[in-house]
Amino acid sequence: MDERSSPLTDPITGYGLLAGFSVFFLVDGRDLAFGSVNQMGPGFFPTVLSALLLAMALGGIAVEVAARWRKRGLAARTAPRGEDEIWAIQWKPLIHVAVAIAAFALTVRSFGIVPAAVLSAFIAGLASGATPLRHLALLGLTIGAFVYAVFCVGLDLAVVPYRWPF
Amino acid sequence: MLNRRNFMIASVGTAMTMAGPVSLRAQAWTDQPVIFINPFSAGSSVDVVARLIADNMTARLGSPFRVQNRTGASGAIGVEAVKNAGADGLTFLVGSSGSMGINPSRLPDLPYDAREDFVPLSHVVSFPQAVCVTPAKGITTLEELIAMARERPGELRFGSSGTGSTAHLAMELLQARAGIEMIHVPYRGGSLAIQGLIAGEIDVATEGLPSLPGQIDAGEIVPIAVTSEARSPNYPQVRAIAETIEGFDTAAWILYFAPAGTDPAIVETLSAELVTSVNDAEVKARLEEIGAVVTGRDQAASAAFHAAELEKWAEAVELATR
Amino acid sequence: MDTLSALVGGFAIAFSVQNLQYCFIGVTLGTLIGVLPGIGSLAAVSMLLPITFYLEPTTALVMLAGVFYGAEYGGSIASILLRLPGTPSTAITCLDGHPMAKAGRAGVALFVTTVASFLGAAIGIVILMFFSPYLAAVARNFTSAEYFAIILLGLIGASTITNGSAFKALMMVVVGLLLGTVGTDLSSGAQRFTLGATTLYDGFGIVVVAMGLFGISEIIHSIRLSRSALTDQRIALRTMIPTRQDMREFPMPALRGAGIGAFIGALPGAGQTIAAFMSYAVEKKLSRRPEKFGTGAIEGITAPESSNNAASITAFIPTLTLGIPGSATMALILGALLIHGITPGPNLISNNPEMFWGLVASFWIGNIILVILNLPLINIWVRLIQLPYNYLYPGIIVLVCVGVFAVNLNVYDVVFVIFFGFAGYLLKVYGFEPAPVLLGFVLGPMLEENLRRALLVHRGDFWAIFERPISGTFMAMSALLLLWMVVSAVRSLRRGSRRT
Repeated sequence: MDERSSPLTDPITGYGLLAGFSVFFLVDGRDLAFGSVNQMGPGFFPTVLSALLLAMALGGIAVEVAARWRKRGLAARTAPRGEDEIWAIQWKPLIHVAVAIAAFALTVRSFGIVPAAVLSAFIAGLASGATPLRHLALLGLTIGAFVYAVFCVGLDLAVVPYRWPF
Repeated sequence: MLNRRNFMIASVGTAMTMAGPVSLRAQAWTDQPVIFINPFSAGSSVDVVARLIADNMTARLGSPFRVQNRTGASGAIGVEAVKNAGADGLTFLVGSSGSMGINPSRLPDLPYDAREDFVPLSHVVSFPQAVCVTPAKGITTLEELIAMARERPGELRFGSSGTGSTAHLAMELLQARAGIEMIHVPYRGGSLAIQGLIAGEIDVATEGLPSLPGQIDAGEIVPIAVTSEARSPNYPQVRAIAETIEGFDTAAWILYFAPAGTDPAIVETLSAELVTSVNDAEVKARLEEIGAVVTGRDQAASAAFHAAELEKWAEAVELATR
Repeated sequence: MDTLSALVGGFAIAFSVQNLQYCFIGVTLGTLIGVLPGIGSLAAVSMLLPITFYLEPTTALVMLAGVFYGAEYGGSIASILLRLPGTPSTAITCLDGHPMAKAGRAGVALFVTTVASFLGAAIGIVILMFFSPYLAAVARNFTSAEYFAIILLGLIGASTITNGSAFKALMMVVVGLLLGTVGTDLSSGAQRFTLGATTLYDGFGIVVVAMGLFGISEIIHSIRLSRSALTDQRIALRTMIPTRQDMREFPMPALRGAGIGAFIGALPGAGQTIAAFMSYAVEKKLSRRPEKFGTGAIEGITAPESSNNAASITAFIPTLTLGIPGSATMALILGALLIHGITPGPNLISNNPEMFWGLVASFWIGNIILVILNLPLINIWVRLIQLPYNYLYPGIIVLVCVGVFAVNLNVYDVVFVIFFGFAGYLLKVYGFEPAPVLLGFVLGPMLEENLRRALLVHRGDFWAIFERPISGTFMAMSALLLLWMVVSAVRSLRRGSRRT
């Protein structure tokens, strides 16, 4: 499968996302005072920067399109790639890691840091699909014990190790 | 070896010769630790005060008192945490002029109401700030500075530790009272403002007195006035602004609060214990060493003080944003 | 000679049993929190601060300082092994350190960074000993115009640190600058881009941004390695020993790094992260083969590591001799002195010589302890990455969560890590290297506030920045660098069109 053929991994999509990012700052910052050169307002710096980023992103798209217009495959020249070649987006690890971190954030306050660590490690471990469940459970408990030993006992952080909220 | 608690006990044991008898009043609390939440980072002067008091109360009352730093969002995170802890009698707030005096009028959509959500316990200490210039200015009093500013309206520059800081708003009030106009130059922190002063970028800087003796002794900067109502015991020769402008007082302060709805008996007891702690000879000596002025106001006086402060800073914020 | 006799006196103080003991505790703890992602020296120093109330001031200072510079040693370990910056100042070490680890040269990388760290620290200490008054005099006269000029130079230099196009790197710098504007505006107090969320009043935490962009995005990418270890070569102890070519490429970059680091570190407010990024950019610029940077160039780890260690020592110059702490951590260390009634300022060295020279001596001792501590550990660390990756990464994710949470005990910080991890992953997918984002994020607020302050002070006259000698020099260097970038871009475009 050619990874570059997907519209999701097209370089133009990348520039487009950055353009969107800059538009957010332009729109959300429109109410901030621009000020004068003598006394710059809070809006000056972000507005100039987001306009610059937007221009660069549009420029990137233009070069990309122009290159394709002239010759297919020439895009590689404007965006030389070594290590950082375009990958296909790996949805499964992406979602698992996000859920694992979210699980930590949701449980750390109510259940304490050790249960949150065990749960998060378990969910994260599912992402690779290569670890047997039994090992994952063991791994989670080991990590929980490590977190307890290092952060709760060793560094004596002001965190609740574990509790039952109900 | 790295366990802080054991480590502390070991070192405290040697350092604290005085461990008072377990007070009967301590029965208000069980062996559950009482948490004082400080919305600012450890090591700041507010934090040092909170820890000195917590250590003293632990030693005197026999039940554990701890300081927890819950930083972020200009202090709003920590204040909100105390509000949400509810009236459990175990969680209290180390309030300061920033989080409980200025921010309520300065910041929109704060997640707490400084008046409605909290009950003042005790105004324990104040921190005078010093108005400083460089020796090159050739002035030594506030009157001379005011005269200079009148001569060149809108030309002198004053530095502060940031927009909306105690230092900034104190100068706004001073300008309004003295009828002068200067340019505000904000810095990221008071010590960088002092560097700006030394480098000649600004004409005046206001900063907490505790961190200044090094530069004052070396003759790099000259304090011309302190912002507290009375002179600082550490610099008795420096006059208070109040001696020129009557009633002027913009010292930073620390006031402990309980969440609204806390059992009045606990409020009463804790307020009294706080006053006892700051008046303890050893604690008081340490507090004065770091430049604090011990006030130790009781509950009623603290409530009146807080109400007056909220009004004063609201006016200062108004002046600053005009 | 005077300095040397004072130093001998300092050693007498530093070698007291108590000071040695706390120096050891400090550097060990520093290494540990350096390795652990998230909690850095700021969190560790604030945790230790209450203890120092009950210690002798010199002992307290020795321990806190040990934590501070020890963290720089530890930080590079996680960067090299896991591409997870232990502290923000070692983020740049990921770029070449991790490829070295992947190529089975983790032992060499760890060895070389330890030696470079020591060298940087040693040069930093020598400069602290002999040139403190001169550096302090320079830093003392730095105004907003000078800061603006030097930060601008750093940012333009940053766009050369990645291997892809300078155009893309510049875009990443701008993204970082924009992210840095989130939060309360220093000059006006206005809330910018917080979307009404209180938790964003102080902006995003640097740890959150660094962990997300580097650590989490790397994990998402590497999970597909699944069962295989990061490196499956059997690594024996002797692979710790650098090749002859490594040795040849080692001294100059380390020396230049130490020089840059020592200078930047002495400027209040600049700090180790900037020092590390700048020396990386300089090495890449000077190298005859800049294309090998990012693929495991040894200069790419020695220069920044020597630089951030030198900076961590010279950061004490403005703190102790001007009474101006350059960073939040330094402010805490200064706070520890204030509690003991010692106020740092221009008279500190003459008023408290035993403390100053005792501290200097403890720097020597602490750094030697760090080397002794680190070298035997290299073998253990290297074994860590021979674990199958699917057993390793869940632990890393948990460490990132706990570390980020522990800084402020704020759950939202952990949520933002997801956001930055996702963003960092997308950036990689589209061929953007996230390192310049981090630098833009660190420098953005400083660039903006110094520019605004300089213009306020000079009444809107931008050219005043060019007229001051120091800032003018830096501005001219920035202009030359920009010109050079444009020229080489045009040249490579022309070469490209000839090829077609």
